[in-house]
Amino acid sequence: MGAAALNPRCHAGPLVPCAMVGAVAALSAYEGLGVAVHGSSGCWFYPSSLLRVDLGCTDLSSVDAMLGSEERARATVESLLGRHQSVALVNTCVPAIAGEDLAGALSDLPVTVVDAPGFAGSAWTGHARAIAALHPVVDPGARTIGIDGLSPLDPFARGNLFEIERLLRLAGATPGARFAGGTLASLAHAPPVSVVANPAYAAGAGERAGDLLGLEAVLATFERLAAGGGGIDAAPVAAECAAAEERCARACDKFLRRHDPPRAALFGEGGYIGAAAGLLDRYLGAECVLGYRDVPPPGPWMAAPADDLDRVGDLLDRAEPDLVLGSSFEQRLRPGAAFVPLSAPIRGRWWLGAVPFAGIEGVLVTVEAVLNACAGAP
Amino acid sequence: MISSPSPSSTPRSDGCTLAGALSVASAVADGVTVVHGPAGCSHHHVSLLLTALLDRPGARLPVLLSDDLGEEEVIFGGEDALAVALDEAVERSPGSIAVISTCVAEAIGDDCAAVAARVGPVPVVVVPAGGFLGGGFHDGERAALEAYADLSVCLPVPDADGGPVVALVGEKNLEYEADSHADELGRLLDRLDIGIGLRFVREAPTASFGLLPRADLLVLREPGLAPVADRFPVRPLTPRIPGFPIGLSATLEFLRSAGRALGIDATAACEAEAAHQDAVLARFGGLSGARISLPSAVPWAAEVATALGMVVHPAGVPVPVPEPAPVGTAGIARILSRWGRRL
Repeated sequence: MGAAALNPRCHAGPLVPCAMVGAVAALSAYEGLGVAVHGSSGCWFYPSSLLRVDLGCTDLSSVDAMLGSEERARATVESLLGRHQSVALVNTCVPAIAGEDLAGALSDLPVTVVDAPGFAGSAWTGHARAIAALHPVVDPGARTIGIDGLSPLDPFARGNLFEIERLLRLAGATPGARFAGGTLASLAHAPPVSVVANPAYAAGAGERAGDLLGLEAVLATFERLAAGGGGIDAAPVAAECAAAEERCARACDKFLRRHDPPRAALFGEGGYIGAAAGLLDRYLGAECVLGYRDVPPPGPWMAAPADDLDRVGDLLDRAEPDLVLGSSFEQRLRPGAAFVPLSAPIRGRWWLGAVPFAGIEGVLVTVEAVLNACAGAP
Repeated sequence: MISSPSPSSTPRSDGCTLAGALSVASAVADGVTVVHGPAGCSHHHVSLLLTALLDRPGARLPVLLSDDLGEEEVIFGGEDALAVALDEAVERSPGSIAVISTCVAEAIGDDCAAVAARVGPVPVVVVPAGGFLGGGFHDGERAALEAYADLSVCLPVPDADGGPVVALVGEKNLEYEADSHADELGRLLDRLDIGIGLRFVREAPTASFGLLPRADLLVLREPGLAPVADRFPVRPLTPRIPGFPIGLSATLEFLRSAGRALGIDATAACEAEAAHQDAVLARFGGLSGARISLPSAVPWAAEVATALGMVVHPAGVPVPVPEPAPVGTAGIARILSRWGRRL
């Protein structure tokens, strides 16, 4: 690819899905909620192929765009209500510009209209709008802990959920409402405090005790939860963190007896790449260059925006990494480097299991993947 | 995949007009494409292209710029954003630039052609592909082909070898087998001692499009492209073959048609190809007598089954009948390999 764009708003090969896709993904994670795209079949096609869910579409035509789409929207919602308790209708660009009051027109139906046109921003914007549109209500008396920062667009979401639920139970806590996921009913009694899997998708109600990216963060977050009372004990989690720390250190020491520290380039959401760079630095002494899709990673990293192919290409050219953590785009642009999946999309390989990035298992799995990739790289 | 019925004007699984236009524009070897719309619209296609290219190691990732229209442009207009993106495109010294509009651009009424007209020395094509406001995938694909055809008359005629110019028109650029199909047509045409003069527009540089107006034979990817070819700036009565050959007899007929169009006696070529087909079928002689079931109205598959002595019966083993169908004799050989594994 050539040099990065002259205008920061001009993207050469944009790498982030639009707000509509983020909203559809978030909503599709809730049980009992049917989701439909209020737009054309072209807008429907991408989230449908990406998420593989029962996704309706109002199939707007140019005639509907001019003469009004209430009738088509009503028919689509009623069709989905045959299979779901309620429906979320996600607005796309043209109907958003037309400005029809669909929420008013469909007020007699159990439908939530989510305004997330593509021009409103990226997938994270749409995700946040979707969660907000579901109006989660914090129940101060709830004795559960919420799990925030989950999106089906995140390849680690299922693994993160299972790992976080495990850790919460290990500490004597009860997992509560998810953002996004679980039942819609759970949102009526959302816990006052949540832990975060992926900060890019943190959009839930109530306070956040912290994220669970890296062992230090896991420990700090559980200590904060424990300080809040409710019978939560951080000690079992701390013990497991210590054991994981030792396993990582031992494995990486062995690796370094035969290999130099990798020169790594990491691409993805700021929270993830910051945490992954922390692992590479701590256990392998790796040089790290970071390219972020959304916001800069926390920490002292050399980081630059990498939300399009040109910016990714420039970073890769400058860093000349022998290890790349990122998406299939980065893998494609640097085929000779060892590769570890860290961000969507992950293509060209089977990805069926629930792989975590968050939590203690997330650390172990990531370090393991890095070592295997580096040891096997040409 | 469940949703409400589609109005007849909106193809349900056709995809977006933008995607169709991009499938053509992104195939131009030295082209840069500017999508006038939200970044997400471009991302969908970048992601789709990545998937398609994973099967082609080393293949070029096309340059696809988005001017990233946001809420501000929706309110105040996006022509300035497009102008900046075009400057960016020119900086990259492409052979040509394609400006493709989206439904957002159409809805807010931006005049892409007026902005594009201000671009300097680089040839620019403007493809109105207003998402669902502009039709479906095939409408976008055809609009882009027409735009590049219009451009071809403004380009100098490249040096050619003096032989007849055979142009392949409208290859399906997202198709996994696209290059294999072109290879097969090249092999067939070689039997007539001619080559493919122009692939319009797959992986061809912009300058080569100057050959289109002097093409001696147009080979369309599929009959549905006839209305597009009707508008091509080619010489009157330029012969055309309506589609890539599908099936055994159609492959021989392709050779005869090409020979007739170019004034070449195809007898020897057809005999050689028929002998080649016999040899291919002989490799799969073990399938003779096998009971298979086929979808109705797939004559090329029935022809192959008959030629091999297979028994077509509703209770037979269902065998794959891909769509788009395999091209040429090579395509038949590949499908027979798949049938053999199934049986």
